[in-house]
Amino acid sequence: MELNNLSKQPSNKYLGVVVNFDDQKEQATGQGWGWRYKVAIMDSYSNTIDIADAEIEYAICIFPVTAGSGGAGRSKSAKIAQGDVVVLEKISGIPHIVGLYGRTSQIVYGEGRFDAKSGFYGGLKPGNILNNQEINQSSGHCTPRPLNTGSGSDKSKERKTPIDKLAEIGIDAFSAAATGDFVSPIVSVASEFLP
Amino acid sequence: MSCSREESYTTGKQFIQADPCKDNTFARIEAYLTNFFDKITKAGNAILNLSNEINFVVDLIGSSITGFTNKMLGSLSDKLSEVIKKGIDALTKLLIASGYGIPAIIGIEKALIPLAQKLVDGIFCAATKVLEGAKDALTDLITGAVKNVLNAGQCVVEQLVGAFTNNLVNIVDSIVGPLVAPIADILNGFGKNIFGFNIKDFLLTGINAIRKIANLFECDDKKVCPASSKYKIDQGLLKDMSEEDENSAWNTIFSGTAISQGATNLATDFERQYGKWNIFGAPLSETGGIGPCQFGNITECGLPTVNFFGGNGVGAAGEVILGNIIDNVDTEGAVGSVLKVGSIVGVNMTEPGSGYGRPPIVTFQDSCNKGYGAYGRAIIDQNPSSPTFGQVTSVVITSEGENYPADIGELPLYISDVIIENPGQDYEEGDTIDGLEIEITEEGDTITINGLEIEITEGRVTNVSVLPGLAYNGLPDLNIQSISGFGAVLRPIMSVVTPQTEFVQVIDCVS
Repeated sequence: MELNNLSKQPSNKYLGVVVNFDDQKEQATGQGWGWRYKVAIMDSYSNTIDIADAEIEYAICIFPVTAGSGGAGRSKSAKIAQGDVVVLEKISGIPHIVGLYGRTSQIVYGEGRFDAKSGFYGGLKPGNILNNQEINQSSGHCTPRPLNTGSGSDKSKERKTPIDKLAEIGIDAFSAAATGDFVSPIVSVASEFLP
Repeated sequence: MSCSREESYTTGKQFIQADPCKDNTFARIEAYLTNFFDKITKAGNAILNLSNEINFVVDLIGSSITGFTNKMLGSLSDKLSEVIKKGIDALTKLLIASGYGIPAIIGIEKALIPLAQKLVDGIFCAATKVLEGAKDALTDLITGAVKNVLNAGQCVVEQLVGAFTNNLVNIVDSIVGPLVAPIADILNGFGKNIFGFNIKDFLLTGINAIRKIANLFECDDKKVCPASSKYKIDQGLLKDMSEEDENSAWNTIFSGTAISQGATNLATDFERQYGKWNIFGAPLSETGGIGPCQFGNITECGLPTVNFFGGNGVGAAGEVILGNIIDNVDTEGAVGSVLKVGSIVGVNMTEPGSGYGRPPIVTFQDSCNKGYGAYGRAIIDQNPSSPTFGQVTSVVITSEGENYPADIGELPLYISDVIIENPGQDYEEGDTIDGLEIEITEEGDTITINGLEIEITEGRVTNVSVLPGLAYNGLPDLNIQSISGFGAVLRPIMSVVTPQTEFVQVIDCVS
């Protein structure tokens, strides 16, 4: 029986790091085709930049069957960030991303090609709830608890008269209470609109 | 994993929900002012827009105080109608007795008609003026208070509303007073003082009458009263002010305003309009209206307390049992002298109350709002033949919380009882509760027993017996070690007193 190409060249698994999105800007900003990322494969590239990140070839994402291909409007997006450590398989010599490692809370960022780096890029900004936590591990994110400090209702903390804020609206915090201290703007209506 | 960071800027904010069973105007204003001062006086408030905040709270309070103003002036109108009518009757009798003829009497009474009409118009005019000026008045008062107040409590609200009332009374008296005078002149003009009415006195002493008058217009239908109308975001329902508390607060406001009306040395327009009040910077010795009021930084945080409300019963009370006590490390910017903080692990019932047809809501609070996360569930006796039927017998702690002020000596805690919340299924004889092994010495031999004995019937946990002596410093997890069983939920009831059962000498405490 004649073997097909894949059998002749069984796929091997590799580890790699998704390079900086600045070096794959076109693809990262949605102007390329498919879901592709430039990955510095650890077996193929050195830590020194002999070949610039921008010159590295794209790897194609493989989705699980539950993600959908887009057919019938069914799809889930890839959520790969720059600096992610991914697992690849080369099929017919072309690297395919088949999985990725979750980041841990012990992550240390660095400058090198294979060093971990923040995934926040461009429009991807830290959110209000989880801030800049970039982890995916069993202990979960550090999720905020309902403390009273938000509304300031913790009365064990020192409170201060908002002297500066009073000054901003023209009120001297140290003067005695007076009528008309707080000035509201006067509605000015042109005479032709008056009844 | 959790971290100590606020969930949102709304956490801890208070709201007073609509309550069909009582007028909660005072509580509503208190909640608005508490939220306002909490926000504007907290440290590091760089993005605060004070102008917006003042306008916002003025609008909120203004909408609440409109009803109060309408009630006052409505009752004044009713009262004046009543006393004028009585005055005319008395005058008629007096004139007849004095030999006046009917045409003369009719002539005198006719003279009163336009005056009475003017009076009605005057009250309407006064109401319009008060309501139109309410926003300006509240803005003056809030702005004046911002200079001095750091924490809004009940007395702050009493003074602020008192100052508003002072202004209201002055306006109404200045408009309505001159309109009442000619009527009084006619009614009292025949040698007998038959019309005596003082507008200020009525407005400042007639609060009970005002509230009763308001109630007259309500149908006598059965209402479904909520357990509480006070809600705190991220905490839930809190015990609200009772109707008696509200009445007491209003009485304080009116009596304080009455005293304020008699104040002398009113140096500024502000004082002449609103009176002298501590929260606007007047020294306490010159105010005389409402007693000392703590509105500065709080230096003493009390221990947490437990409240019971709802459940159709009354009177349940208890003391909080604290555990897991640690040093307070959250000292940045602190003014309170909280050295230790802890969790709430139990409630020592001091009064079981009565009449509880369903479990009342249990809440925990400390005066500094420092602690968070503790929740409890009341256990009531539902057996009609039991002597404690309808009483709260204990409180199960479903979440211990943390950070509650706990400046007390730590006491060893004991399990006094275990509530079987869910008996589970498929348990077997010999299953034990994990981690409660204790070593005891019996006749010279050291043996290991379990601190809790569980009874299994048809795979379900039906009883848990507590052996004395096992001491804890927190709320233990009661997990049953079992190969086949699952689903049982056991809740320990903690006590600072060792259960009075068979004594076992403990030589190794699990803590």
